[in-house]
Amino acid sequence: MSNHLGNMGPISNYLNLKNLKCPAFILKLKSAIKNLPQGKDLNIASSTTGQVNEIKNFCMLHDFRIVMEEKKGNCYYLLISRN
Amino acid sequence: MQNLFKHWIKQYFSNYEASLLLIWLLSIVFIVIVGGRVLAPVITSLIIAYLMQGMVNFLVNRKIAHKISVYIVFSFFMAILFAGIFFIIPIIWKQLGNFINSLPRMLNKVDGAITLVSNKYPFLLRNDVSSFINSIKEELASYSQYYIASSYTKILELIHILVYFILVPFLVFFFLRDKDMFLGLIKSTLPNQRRLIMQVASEMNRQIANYIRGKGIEILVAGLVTYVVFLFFGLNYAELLAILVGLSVLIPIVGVLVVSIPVILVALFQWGGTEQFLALTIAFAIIQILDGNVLVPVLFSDAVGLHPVIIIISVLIFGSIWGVLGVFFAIPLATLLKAVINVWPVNNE
Repeated sequence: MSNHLGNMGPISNYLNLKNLKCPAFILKLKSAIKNLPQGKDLNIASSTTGQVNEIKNFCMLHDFRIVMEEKKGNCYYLLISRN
Repeated sequence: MQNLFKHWIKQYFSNYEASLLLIWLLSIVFIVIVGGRVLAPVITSLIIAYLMQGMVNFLVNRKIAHKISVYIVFSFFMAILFAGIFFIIPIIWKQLGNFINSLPRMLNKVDGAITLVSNKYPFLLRNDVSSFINSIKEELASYSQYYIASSYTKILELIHILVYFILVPFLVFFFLRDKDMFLGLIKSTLPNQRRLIMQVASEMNRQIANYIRGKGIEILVAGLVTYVVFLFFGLNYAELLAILVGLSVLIPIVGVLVVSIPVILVALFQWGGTEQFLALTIAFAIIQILDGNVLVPVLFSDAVGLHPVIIIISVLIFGSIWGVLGVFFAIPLATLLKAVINVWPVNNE
């Protein structure tokens, strides 16, 4: 199965954070990370640069890294992976 | 039930550092609640010193010695303080007095308008509205008495304020000059395993710096644009209302709703339901729309904002705990909670 980023993992590891504000934004991101199986990456869709900055900061705090970052139209797509 | 609670505790507080962070936060809240009134000058000075630290860093980065940078920034702070005490506050105080004294007359006019409407539409409950307005007038009369009393007879309060004005600059100066010593002192009281506490502090620093920088610019822009528009229309109490509008951006959503009432009342009292009143109301609405849809997204694009419901809940909660100060600091305090949620370990980490 492929997603918007190509063949980068199952669609169940896809997280849509578009237009979400805090604290729902952070809580949803944390929940997704908590339920992420070992060795799997997480695809995230976001809508603002502010969200992208928050995701990058979040990755730094929780030992994740940005594998890929892409902008398509008004949306940003990130692929994050556990270090 | 007991197992459920145990599981919940284990899920969120099994991490040693997370528990330390919680104890640290609860201790700070306890100190602020118990000693907040006594420590108010210290807390105020700490906040001002934190605000000024950015300027000190700016000068130090431009190869100016730390001590000289502190003196320059402190002189700037004192200049603003003196300008405020001797020029701005007297104007605002005078306008505030005139405004409070004219409020009962404004309400009489509103009462008259309601009488006219109720004569035309008798099914409306005029008596209830009138008694409501009368109760507001009585409240206002007591406030104006307080205003007059506090400006002439409450010498003790004046001395208290003077002590505040002397104490705060001293503390600000020492906090700026000996920042490293104070930070070292605080760090020495923290436990060795303080990674999470430091992460929250760093998160707070990042978000609060962004918030303060953005809000500072927003207050200036919103206040100045409103002042120019009010001057253009020749609205009474333009300075006082423009300052209120500027400060209202500190309390998102609620602030603008509250500050709209005196602006519309003053305009209505000054011009009645004329075209000029309508023009000013539209101009004021345009300023607010531009502020919310253009200025705020530009200034706060670096981070995800709080949901409007969370903002209102924060204003209500912190306002009920610490009054007006709580209302003003509701967003930074909500940001602290956001920072804690952000760094709190995910249980499988």
